[in-house]
Amino acid sequence: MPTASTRAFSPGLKLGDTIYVSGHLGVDASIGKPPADISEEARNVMKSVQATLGEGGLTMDDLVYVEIYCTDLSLYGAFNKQYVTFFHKPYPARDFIGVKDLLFGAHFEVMAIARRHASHAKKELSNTR
Amino acid sequence: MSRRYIVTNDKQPFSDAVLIDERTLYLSGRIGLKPGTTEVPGTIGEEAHFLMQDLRRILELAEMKLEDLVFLQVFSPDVTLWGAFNEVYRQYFSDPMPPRSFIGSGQLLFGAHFELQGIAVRDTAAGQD
Repeated sequence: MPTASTRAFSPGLKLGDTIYVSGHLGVDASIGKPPADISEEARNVMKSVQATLGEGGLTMDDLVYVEIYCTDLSLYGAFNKQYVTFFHKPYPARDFIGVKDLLFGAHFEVMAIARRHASHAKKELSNTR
Repeated sequence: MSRRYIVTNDKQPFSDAVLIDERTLYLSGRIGLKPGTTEVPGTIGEEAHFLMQDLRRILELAEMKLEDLVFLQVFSPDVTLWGAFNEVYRQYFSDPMPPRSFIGSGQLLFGAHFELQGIAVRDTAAGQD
């Protein structure tokens, strides 16, 4: 699964039914800075994760855990607006962490773990407390 | 193969956890707000206790315990709080302690001082079901 790269990491690693997805940015490295529109950057990072999963034969709904790093917590709402469009409910587990800096001036970095979804049936356990 | 989503608030863009094959539980990040509010408690100790109790609450929804955790990440905007956090954290585990990383992060949502994320695996060897 690793693609040809001069970097010290693969975009993702597939081990049996599990894909560990490296941190992805919504910034084109050849441009070297994020798009002016934050929504576009948010969509780019999610599409980038989606592409890596696709190479491993999985989809966004196969994600079980998503870790989001963000340089500015005021972007929480704008990020979520794009994020939710990539999934069907119920959503994967998630962590959204404020960080100081990301590469290339990116505002978001997304890392994730996916598990093959053999049953195609999402069972939801709801509890209200 | 199966997956079971644990969702206590379906308005959030994430589930609280997802259980794969009734065995591996990926948890969303948790913070130690006063239960039922978005307020950070007055003391660090109180916040750490609320956090550990909230983590335990989600584990219990998957019929698991704190000792089933196999990996934890702790994020804190202030690494000088490491000692105060550990004083509380240690009260919730006995040896052997799970592997853990403690990361100096940027801001966390709601001004929380700690965010805790983990992965748990059901201990079938111990005769539990």
